[in-house]
Amino acid sequence: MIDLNDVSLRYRASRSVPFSELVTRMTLLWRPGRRRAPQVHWALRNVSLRVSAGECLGVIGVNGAGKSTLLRVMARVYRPTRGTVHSFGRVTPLLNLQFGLRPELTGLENMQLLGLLQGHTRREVDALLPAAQDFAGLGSQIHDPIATYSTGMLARLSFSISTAIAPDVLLLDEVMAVGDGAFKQKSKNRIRALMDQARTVVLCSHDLALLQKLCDRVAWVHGGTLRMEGPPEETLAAYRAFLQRDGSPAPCRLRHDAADDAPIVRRASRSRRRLSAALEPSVSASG
Amino acid sequence: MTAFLAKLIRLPASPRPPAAHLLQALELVRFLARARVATWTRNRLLGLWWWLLEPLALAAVYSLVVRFAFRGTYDNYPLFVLCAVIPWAWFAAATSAAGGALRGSARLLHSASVSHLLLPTAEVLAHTYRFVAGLCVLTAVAAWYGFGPSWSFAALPLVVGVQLLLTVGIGFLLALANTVVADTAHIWSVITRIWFFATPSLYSLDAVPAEMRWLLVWNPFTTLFAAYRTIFLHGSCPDLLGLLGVALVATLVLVSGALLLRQQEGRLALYV
Repeated sequence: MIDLNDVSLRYRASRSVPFSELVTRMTLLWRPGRRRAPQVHWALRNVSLRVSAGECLGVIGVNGAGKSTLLRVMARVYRPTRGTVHSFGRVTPLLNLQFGLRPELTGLENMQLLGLLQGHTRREVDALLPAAQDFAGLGSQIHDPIATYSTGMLARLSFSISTAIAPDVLLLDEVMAVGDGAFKQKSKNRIRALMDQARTVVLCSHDLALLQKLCDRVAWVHGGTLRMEGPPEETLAAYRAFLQRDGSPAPCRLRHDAADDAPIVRRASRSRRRLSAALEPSVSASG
Repeated sequence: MTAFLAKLIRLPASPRPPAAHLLQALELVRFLARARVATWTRNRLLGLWWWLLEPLALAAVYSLVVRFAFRGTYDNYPLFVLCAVIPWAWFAAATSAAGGALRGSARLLHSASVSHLLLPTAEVLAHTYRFVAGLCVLTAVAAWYGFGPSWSFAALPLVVGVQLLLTVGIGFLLALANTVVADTAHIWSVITRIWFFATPSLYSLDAVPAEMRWLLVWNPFTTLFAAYRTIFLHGSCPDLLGLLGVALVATLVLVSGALLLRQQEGRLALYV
């Protein structure tokens, strides 16, 4: 079970000061009063969401809406700037197919590494390996360095070991979109099986038909906020309508005036402001 | 104690006792270190042999330089220098690798909730394996110069342990700094270079003017290099009180580095 309570997350763009500005600041050319207050990006803004045990939650939204950030906050990979996250049980995030993989190690060694990174002991991992190896179906190539693997093979590798022990909460980000037809079917079946064992799944995908089939509930994230949340049919229909109406969804990060973020404002650099200015048209177009 | 350590390194929540968490963290660190060693050895012609060849090459270079350039500076000068150069190579390589550990695993930091302390520790551990090979070469070179192993070697694990504490501690601080300011790696390479020459490494403490000597006493590597030399060149017990002082400083650095890194966990991923 996961409980997000009024979670906000501010993305920190690089705060480093470019050398040219450093020089300007050290000379008399710099006058403090000349700076225009820049604006701050929030990847998530006041999101409250509860995923109960045994539930499969789908997450939808256009690119840059905050879906991945939401999953990362759930996985405690990111600590929210404000708000609280409570999760119970073993949470296994599968957010990136190549996370933690070392290209020079073999497939089998990488499976061990992923198992250890997910908090299993060496003995547990060794017990899991045969089944995971079997599920991945990579044959003798499991002993080759993964530098020789294709994306689909990497997906098989990560998915197999990550789901070998049914986690209490499984977080999947776009992982389903890769792999060939046969493996896709296999992984779908496994997610079904995990859900049948009263495990919780949060699935983030652009495959609306898949979400419709698998999920009990769908949350629509837009501009870092929770725009809609409810039964799959309703949410997906509203999202489809939005996509048709708003043909080409531009990056839609929320922008807020910096009044409540004074310390960051003072540190923000000129290049950042230039970037904000460049982003201005697309942002106003979308929002 | 185990509960505190387990809380410090923040392992995933599970019903396991703290000791099991620590064991799991240790297994992960060892595996990561092994993975690092694999990057050094796989697809290399000489693989692990480089661990012996590199310090041997260093020894050869210093012997030749001394024979032709600094004739008669000190007795057994090549050995004298190697007692500083080999431990220093470990420190410099391990700290810079630990410093890059978090920035280098950006993908991991963005995708999994792993204790940030484990990654720099693993880098240091991998370099420690390598240093052990270097110590074997140092022992062989010492024997070549007529200083066979003696009972003083019993103090070697202590000296290595103190240096390890310091290396991990500085590694933590660098890993944190490097995540926030990407220039840290460059700054650190300059600092290590200056630090090496500001330490009695190629010269002895006696060669330093008396009015400057108090400054060098505050340098932990003055004590450490002297300890290595006492063990290998004099076959006697190193200055234990001095080592205790260095150990205290190292512990302080280690604990503050660990706490700082731990405090920023979950935020650092947003920087890299």
